[in-house]
Amino acid sequence: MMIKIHKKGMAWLLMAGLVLGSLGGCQKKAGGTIEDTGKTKAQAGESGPGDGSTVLPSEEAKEPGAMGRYGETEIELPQEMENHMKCGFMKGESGSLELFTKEGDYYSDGISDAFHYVYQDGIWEKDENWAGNDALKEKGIDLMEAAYGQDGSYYLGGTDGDYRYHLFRLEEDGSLTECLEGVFDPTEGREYGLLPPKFQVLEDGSFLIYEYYEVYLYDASGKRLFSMAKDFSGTTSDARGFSEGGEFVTVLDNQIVRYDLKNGRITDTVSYDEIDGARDAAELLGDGQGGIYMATEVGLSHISKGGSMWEVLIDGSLNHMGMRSIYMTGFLEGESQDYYGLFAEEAGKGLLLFHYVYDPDMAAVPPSGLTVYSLKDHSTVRQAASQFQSEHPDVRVEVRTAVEDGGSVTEEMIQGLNTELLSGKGADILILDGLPADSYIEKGILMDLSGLVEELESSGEMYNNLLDGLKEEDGKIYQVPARFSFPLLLGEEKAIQAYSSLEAMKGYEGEKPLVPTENYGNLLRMTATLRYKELFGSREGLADRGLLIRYLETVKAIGEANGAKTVFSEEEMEEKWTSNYVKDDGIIDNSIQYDAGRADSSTEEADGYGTLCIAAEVRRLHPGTLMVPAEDLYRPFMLASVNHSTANEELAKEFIRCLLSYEVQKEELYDGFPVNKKAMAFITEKDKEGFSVGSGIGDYHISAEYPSREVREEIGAMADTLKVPVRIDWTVMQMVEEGARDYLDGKESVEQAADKILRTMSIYLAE
Amino acid sequence: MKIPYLKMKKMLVPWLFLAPSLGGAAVFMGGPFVDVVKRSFTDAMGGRFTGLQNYQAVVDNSAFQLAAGNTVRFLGVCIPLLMTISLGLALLIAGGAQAHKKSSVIKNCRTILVLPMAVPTASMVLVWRILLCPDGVLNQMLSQVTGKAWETDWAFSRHAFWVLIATYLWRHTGYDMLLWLAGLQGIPGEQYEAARMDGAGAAARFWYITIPGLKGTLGMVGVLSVVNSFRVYREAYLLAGSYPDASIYLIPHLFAHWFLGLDIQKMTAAAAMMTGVCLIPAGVVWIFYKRRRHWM
Repeated sequence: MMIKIHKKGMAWLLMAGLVLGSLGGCQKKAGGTIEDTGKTKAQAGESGPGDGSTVLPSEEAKEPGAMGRYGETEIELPQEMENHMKCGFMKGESGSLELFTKEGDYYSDGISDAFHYVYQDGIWEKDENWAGNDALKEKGIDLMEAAYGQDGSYYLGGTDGDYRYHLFRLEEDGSLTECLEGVFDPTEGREYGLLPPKFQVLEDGSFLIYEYYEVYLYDASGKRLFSMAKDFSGTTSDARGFSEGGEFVTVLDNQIVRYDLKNGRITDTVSYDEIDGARDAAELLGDGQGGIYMATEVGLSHISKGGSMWEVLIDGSLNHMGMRSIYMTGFLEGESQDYYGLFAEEAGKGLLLFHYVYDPDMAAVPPSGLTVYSLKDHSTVRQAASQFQSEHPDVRVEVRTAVEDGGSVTEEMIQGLNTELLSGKGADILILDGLPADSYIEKGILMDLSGLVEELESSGEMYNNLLDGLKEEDGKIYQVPARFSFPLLLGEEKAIQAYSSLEAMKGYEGEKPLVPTENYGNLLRMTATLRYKELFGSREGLADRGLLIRYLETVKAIGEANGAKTVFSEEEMEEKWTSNYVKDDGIIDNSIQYDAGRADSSTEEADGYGTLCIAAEVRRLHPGTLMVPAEDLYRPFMLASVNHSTANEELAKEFIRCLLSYEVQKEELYDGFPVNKKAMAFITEKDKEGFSVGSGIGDYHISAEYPSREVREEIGAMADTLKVPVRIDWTVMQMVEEGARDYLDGKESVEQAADKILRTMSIYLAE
Repeated sequence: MKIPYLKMKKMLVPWLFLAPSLGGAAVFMGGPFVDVVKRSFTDAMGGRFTGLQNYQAVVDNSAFQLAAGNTVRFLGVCIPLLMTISLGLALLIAGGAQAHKKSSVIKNCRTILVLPMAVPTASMVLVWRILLCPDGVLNQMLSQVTGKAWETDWAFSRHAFWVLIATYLWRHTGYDMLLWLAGLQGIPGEQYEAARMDGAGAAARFWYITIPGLKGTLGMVGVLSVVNSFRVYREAYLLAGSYPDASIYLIPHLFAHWFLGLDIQKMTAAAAMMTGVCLIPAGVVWIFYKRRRHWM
């Protein structure tokens, strides 16, 4: 009996333990002290920089009391440096910051003047006594890289008139002594010889010479000792690596590796999760004690020697490190756990220097937060986030993207967002590209931005026509575009006239086909885009059987004239200069086909002057050719809206102001034209010498320079005429594409295809 | 009235065992369902009471009518077919096993029939698409047999309904067959022996012994088949995408699209209605069994 009672008691105890345990597991920590939450010293306000206690901004860190963060201040560079390019950024002989720059471009023709600047007592001073420039000129060398060697000498590397690389030591008397003679000479298969993006000189006078996939170690006499493999970041200025304490540290197989400089063997491998952010521009540097710093657009991270955890010292998303319009070109540690970051704007020019100093009185994480959600990553949005944070240091902007680089959007991602929105949560700002915007507007998810738009429009700075185009039937505006593009037509008058209606496109009779050969997917989409108003202007749209049949017949007629197919074979693609790729709006940049006489007209998506080089050149080559926008159509991108349930309405609106501001819009991030007129005027005015593109297929080749100012002004002026945003329902387009396949392949009649499409479409529309 | 301790214990023990599951179901299913019912009477964001408007909108929605019709049609065609074919196969296997006790052929047949269950749906659908695409195996076979070119995209054609039925049967027949086999093993062999001695033929034995002996199994196989059939959306979606041929457009397609478009008000109303519709036959069965037990 005792045993039975004992067992029962045990059972009850176990059950009680189980229930309490499971309930306890679900319990949310209520308040609690900093020690309770297990946070580090930094959050308790006791930390110092680099002592392993500064933490990543997280939900926990948002509690009051978490103090201490690196602040960013800009160090003004001399005005004359405006058009200079960086050739070297280092701590030199005196321990002060030093900058070597030159006028002109990398690999420029001729010899550019080179300069040496020293930062002393908070001022950059030009070293007027620097003998390097004259010495280089005397030898006919254009400076490319300057470095202060671990042996205490300055070294200068550059190219001669034949683009051959030379490396010199700058002697104290101002003369140059050539080092590694013969190492950079041309060899078989290497016309210009070895052109290293970077070099380093070690304490014993040996040299580390960087190449894209390897770094070579040469002794002082010029004998190659061995090579060490590294990853290529994809940019010609790739030079991730440093040497310290007999080790060479670089990136290999997406990990950070340490090489022993005695034998070139890997001694240690360190993984770094944010290596993706370190692809384009990143700086690796040592901490003097065997530890490693990694500075990227993500921020500055540090790992101690033998450690396994990276500590984020500076959060790049809170300052200029995360800004997309500039890229990091140098990063140095200061004297007292402070850091300096040197950044450049386009093509290495427009240098900016920032100083990062730990401020114990600054909140570890900005007290206010703003969340921006988008399905894909948009550089302009990122740029705006950085700009906004630099203007509002007390606000953290978190940009959440559903898809990583190269990924595709799935229904689950939108469903996930919908779940958040339904529960009255979700991001403060939604970038609506790819999201069901109409449904969100109908359900009252989005805030009416009419007042904000009115304010922006009254400033006179915006393209009011582009913003007004997004006015809904109720007269309100719920979304504003940050960028836009528009379809451009190239051809002679007769061909251009044919784009005026479906009938005209179908009945076009010319020497050549109206449009270059494309797959039917693109022809369907292109016609839908160019005849947007005719096809989607009525309430019924493509659900009108008669209109749908006319549309399909037009596409079929265009396709029959130019030899289109639903799918091309490899041989056909080569022969017809086409592909099976289907672009969402079908506007393929095919002016080279027009130039080669394969069609009477061509299309281009005008989303930046840089992408219109060839179109402008083709027009120049063919007198009588017009380059005109397709009616008044445009495609709005990065449609920003405010979540109706946001608790940060004013901040969210301020962010949109920032997104459309001149400062953000003037940056050319290759994601569309700016909607800000002043910014458009700025980029229209900007000349890009040396910018050229080339394209060719087989024996045909064309190259073109950046469009002239007249052409840029002509294209820029077109933006004023655009009024109708192309907002095609791509789900419907997909149904049309699938349903029309058999008709376009000649397997069924147009009526059968139309009925098939309408059957599916009717379900979609009924939903 | 005082309930004796033992009687009370007898009443309490099952509930104690059931308590964790019931608690979980109440919290994780009951709670959300109450919210679903509540939302079905409001607008999409749950801010405005709309009465029966959402129900009216769902009933009038032609996409819902099509999806509901297709779902019923699928159940009406597929479940009897599945149960009949699987029972037939179970009888063949059981008969074969009886006649050739050591035959490995019978064991292999059973394994082959059950194998589709082990194949992941995505892989299975890939195989079906290879078989049924315009230049797939089926078209090639038909071209060989008939002498004319076949290029039908079966999964996207008007035959899509039967393609879906075929994929469903191929996947689930083995599972149902196992259930029938278990049921068949529960029928005493002596009954067949006695019937045979009395001169009963195969048909008579099946009708008077097998069928009554499988009554209990019939209910279970029926319920499980219906429950499994609701999962056919996966096959339909992977086979023909989110907007398939109208004949295989099912309720889950519609729900997925409504959720994408945030049409929560319609979704919740439809869900509440469907629960109601499912509860009616369940209630009838429950009452039937309760009365039957009462009479017994």
